Amino acid sequence: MGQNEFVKLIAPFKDKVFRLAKRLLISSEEAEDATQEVLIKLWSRNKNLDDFNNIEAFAMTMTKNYCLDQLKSKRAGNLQIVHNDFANNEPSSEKIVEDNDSLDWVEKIINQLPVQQRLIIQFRDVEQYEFEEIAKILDMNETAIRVALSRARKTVREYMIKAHSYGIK
Amino acid sequence: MESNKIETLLEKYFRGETSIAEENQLRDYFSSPNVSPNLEQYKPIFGYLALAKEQNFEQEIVLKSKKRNLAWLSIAASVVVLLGIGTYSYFNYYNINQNQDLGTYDDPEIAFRETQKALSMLSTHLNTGIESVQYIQEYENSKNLIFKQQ
Amino acid sequence: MMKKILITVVVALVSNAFFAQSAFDKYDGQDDVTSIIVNKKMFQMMGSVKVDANDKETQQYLDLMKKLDNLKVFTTKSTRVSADMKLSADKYIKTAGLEELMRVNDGGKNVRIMVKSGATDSQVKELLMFIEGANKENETILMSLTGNFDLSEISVLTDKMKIPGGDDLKKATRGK
Repeated sequence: MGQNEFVKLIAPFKDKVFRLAKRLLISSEEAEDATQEVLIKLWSRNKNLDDFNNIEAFAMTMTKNYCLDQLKSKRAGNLQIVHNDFANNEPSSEKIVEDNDSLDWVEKIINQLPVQQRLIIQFRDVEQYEFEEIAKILDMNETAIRVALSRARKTVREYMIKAHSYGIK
Repeated sequence: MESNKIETLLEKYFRGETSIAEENQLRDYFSSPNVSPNLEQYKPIFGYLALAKEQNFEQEIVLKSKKRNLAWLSIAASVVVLLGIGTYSYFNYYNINQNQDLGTYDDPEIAFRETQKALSMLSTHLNTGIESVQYIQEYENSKNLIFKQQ
Repeated sequence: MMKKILITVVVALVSNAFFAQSAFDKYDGQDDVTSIIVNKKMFQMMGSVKVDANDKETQQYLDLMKKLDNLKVFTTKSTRVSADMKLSADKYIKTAGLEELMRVNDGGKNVRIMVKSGATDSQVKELLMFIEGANKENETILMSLTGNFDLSEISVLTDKMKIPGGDDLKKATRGK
């Protein structure tokens, strides 16, 4: 497969790779680097790509794995793994006042969800994958996915209500 | 769509039971100007999700990967390191051997005698060679020299 | 693949460096080999050996020894070791860049002396002597000498020149 062919092949989902990377790594820069890495890796598997039925799913799986590895290795760094705390603690009122933009607020909430819930929100609510596809990528059964999805959406709702009550418009 | 229907859908949504089509209905509703006031708090959620999908990857993909270069770099680096270690070890080995070990003998006198024997043997052979090759020539030359000196 | 080739080459180069220095050290301690090794430190120690002022011969030896770095002599009667020594010597001569000074064939005895010149032509940094069929017992002798010395300094040690007028020759050459 030539480079031109490859570029056409990945065109439909390269943005999804980027968005997933950003969801997991938060930083745009890191997401860009991750996307490059994943696409290059994909290119290096050139000969085998023709065998794949669903390259997009494969690419998304690669992205997920790569980003999770990044997160693990940067545990001590700026990449936040604060989700556990967030579930129990309330954001400080100072922070709420700062974040006036409600859209930003939604993003922040989602980004602080546990990784698995973040993945599912990204796949379902943003990219609008069917549960079947999500099940393949995450290697989970559909029921488990729905349960996690429900939990995630409810958490978002909970914090949106709180935010609203604090006067975020 | 009436807000009742929307509320039902919403509950379904939060249970994780909506289909994609139904989720799109919710999105359409919340992006319209007619959102009922008691549902206003959900507006940002659906608004954000729609927006999030718009983010695109703008960079050019560098396929002739940096990775290739890095591989060569690391090979080159390893070679330099190995040569460095090799060179260092070479000199170190030589020095250690020279400095710390006395050799076969501990006693200088014995070492002297053995060396003397060895050098003597070497000397004999050296002279044999010189002798054999240069016997006649030297003699002729030296005869002239001697006579000249005298 | 390239990586493997590169690493192999580098390892070969590195081990070659070791090889040059220790080409003959393997003989030290072998069963069928008699080895004599005298290192620089020992030669330095000899400098403090007191010699009788009248013993000119010994003094000559001592003076020469002060200029030596390393002496190695390996002797064997074993044909297997002899063959191995010959190979090692030939290999070493090539890698160390030694030049043949002389070759003497005397009956069954075969003597080769190789040298590496120093600052001037008569100055020697390294000498290798290889003798096959050295004596009745058909011994092989490998001698390696390093330092900074003159060939004449070695020659003079056993200066029993059998040519007639030998003493005159000595006087004459000294006069030059």
